[in-house]
Amino acid sequence: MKKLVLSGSSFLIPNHKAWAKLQSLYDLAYSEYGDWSGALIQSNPDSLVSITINLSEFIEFDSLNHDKSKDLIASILTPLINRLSSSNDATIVGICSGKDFQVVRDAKEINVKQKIYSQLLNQFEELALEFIDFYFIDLDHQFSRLGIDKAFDQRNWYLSHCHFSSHGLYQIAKYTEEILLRHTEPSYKVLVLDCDNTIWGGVVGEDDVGSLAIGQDGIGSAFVDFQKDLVKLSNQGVLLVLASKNNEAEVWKVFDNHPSMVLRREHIVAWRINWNEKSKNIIELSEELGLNINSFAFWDDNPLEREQMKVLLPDVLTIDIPENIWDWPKYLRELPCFSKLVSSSSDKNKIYQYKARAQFVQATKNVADMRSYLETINLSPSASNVNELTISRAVQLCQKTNQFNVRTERHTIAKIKNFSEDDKDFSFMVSLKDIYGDHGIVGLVCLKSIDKETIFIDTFLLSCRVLGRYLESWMLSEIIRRCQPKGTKNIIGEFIISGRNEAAQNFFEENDFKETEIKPELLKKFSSKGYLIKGITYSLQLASARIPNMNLFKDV
Amino acid sequence: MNKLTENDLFGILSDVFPATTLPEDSKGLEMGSFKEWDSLGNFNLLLAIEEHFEIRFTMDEITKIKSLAQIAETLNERDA
Repeated sequence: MKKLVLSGSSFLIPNHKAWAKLQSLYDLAYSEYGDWSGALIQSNPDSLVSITINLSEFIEFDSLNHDKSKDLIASILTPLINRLSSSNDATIVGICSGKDFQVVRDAKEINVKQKIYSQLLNQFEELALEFIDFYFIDLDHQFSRLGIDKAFDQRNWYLSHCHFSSHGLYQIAKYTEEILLRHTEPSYKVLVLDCDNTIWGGVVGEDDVGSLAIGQDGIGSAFVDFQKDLVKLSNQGVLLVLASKNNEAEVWKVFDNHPSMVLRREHIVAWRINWNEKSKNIIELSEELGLNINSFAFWDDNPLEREQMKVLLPDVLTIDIPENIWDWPKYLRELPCFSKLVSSSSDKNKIYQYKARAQFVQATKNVADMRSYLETINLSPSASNVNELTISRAVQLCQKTNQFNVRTERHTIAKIKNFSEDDKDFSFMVSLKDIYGDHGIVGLVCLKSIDKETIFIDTFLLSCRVLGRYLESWMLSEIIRRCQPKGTKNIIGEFIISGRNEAAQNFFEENDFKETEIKPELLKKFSSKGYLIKGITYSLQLASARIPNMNLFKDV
Repeated sequence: MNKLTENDLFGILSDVFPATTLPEDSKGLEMGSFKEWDSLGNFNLLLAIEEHFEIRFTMDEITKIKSLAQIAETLNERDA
C-alpha cells in the first residue's frame, strides 16, 4: 500500500473515524502534532503527503504588520517548495483562514487572516501549475457549502488542540480522498446519454419537434442549460455519445431542425439509436471507440434503464441523477468523475480524433485483408523527444493508458524527466497521421540503459484510439534506430499483466522478441537500477532482428 | 426508552477500536483495559458516541468520563 503522511498545524485526532476510509486505502502515517513542515521536508519523496493548515494558529491577534505577513507566507511556502522540488508523488495542502466574523468591522476592512489567505491561495495556484503533483484545497470555500461554523469546534481546541469538529475532519478526509482518487485513477472519458426527457423534454415520435421542451421559458430552459454544460464537457475532452430507444431519423431531425438545440451533431462522437438493450449498445460503442467500458458513464432519466445497466454492466458508472431536471446542470458540473487533474492541449483535438477512430472501425469492417487496407491509408508516424511542452501529455498517457501498456507504470513528471536526463533519446513520444486525420501524440516510450549492450523497455504504451494499425512495430523500429548507434546489442522487454492490458500481451512475440529468462548477473544490474522483474521477460537481438509490418508506414 | 447498558455500546466500541478483540461481556471496561483505549482512544470513543447519539458532551464530561459504565450513565441522564 502507498504511504500517505497526514499532518497539520492543528492536531488532527489520529484514528478518528473520519480517517477510516483513507486508512483502508493507504498506509496512513500521522506525523507528530504540529510538525507539518517536517512532514513536508522529511517525508519520503515517493510517499503521498497531505497537510492541513489553519492560519488562526499562526496569527494570534487580528493584526500583523507587512514584514510579519511576508515572513509568515515564506514560512509556509519554503517547506512546501522544498518538498515539491524533490517529491515524486502527490502533495495536498488544505488551508483555512480560521477568520472570525464581525459584520461591522468587516464593513470597514478586510480581515488580516483573509488577506494572507488570498495571497497564499494565489501562490498555491502558481505552484499547482508548475508542479503537476501539487493540489491545494481552499477549505474556507469548500466548508462554506455546509456551513463554515459546523467545521470548527472550539471545545475540541481547548481539549486537544484540534480546531476542527468531527464534521470538519470528515470533510477534510473526503476532499483528500477525492483528490487522491483522481490523482491515481483515470477519469471517465465517455458520457452516454439518453435522448427523450434527458437532453430534451418530451418524446420524439409522440410529440411534434416543435412541442418538445427545449429553450422556452421554464423547464425548457433547464434542458438548454443542461445541453450547454454537456457542450462544455465535450470541449474539455469528454466524449458524448447517444444510446437511446428511438427511430434514428427522428432524433437527428430534432438535432438538425430544432432552433433551440445547443447540442449539435458535431458534439456527438458515436451513437446507437435503436431498440436494442442499452448494455449491448454500450459494448458496441466501446469497441467502436476503442475504449474500455469502465471509462463509460451513463446518464438516463429512466430509473429502470439505470437499474438494468447497474446489473448488466457494473463497470459502467451509472449516474444516480437527481429527480428534478432543474437540479441537473449543477449536478453535472459538480460530478467529480469527469474532473481531471492533468489537462493538456491535445485534449481539445481529442473529439475529432475519436471520431476518426470510429470512422476507421466502420471502414475496416468491410475490408477482408486488413494489411492491404492499411497500406492505402497513408500511415505516417513520427517521433519526438519528450520536452517541457509535451511532458504533461506524457504523464497523462502514463496515467490513462490501460490497454496497450506493457508494464503500466504510472510515471510522474520527475520520473519521466529522469529518462531524458540519462539520455535525451531515451524518452520519446509518437504522433500519427493518416487519411482519417491527425491523431496527435498517441504513444510513449521510456528506455533505461542496463549496461553497455543492454537496453530495458521501461514504458511502451499506445493510446487505444489508434490500435489495430501496427504502430507498435514502427515504435519498436524507432527504439532500434535510437539505440543501435550507441552500441546496444540486446533489448529486453517485460510484460506485466494488469488485468486490463491484454491488447499488449502478444506484442513482444509478434515483433521478433523471444521469451527469455534473465541471467542472474544481469538481474543484479536490473535491481541496481531499481527494477524488480516480476513479469514475463523477452529479448530482442539487434543483429538479427526483423521487425514486421514496416511496409505499412511512410516515414515523415 | 429503556435504559442503556454497557453492552449496548459494544458496536461503537468495536468500531472505534478495530485492532482489539473485545471480551464478550463489555461490563467493567474502561480506559486502560486494553492498549488501544488510551487517552487519545478515549477522546475518539467519546466523539464517536456524540456522533452516534447526536449529542454533545461538555468539556467537563469529556475530561471525566473514562469507562463504559460512565458513558451509559451520562447518556441515561441525558435521556431522562
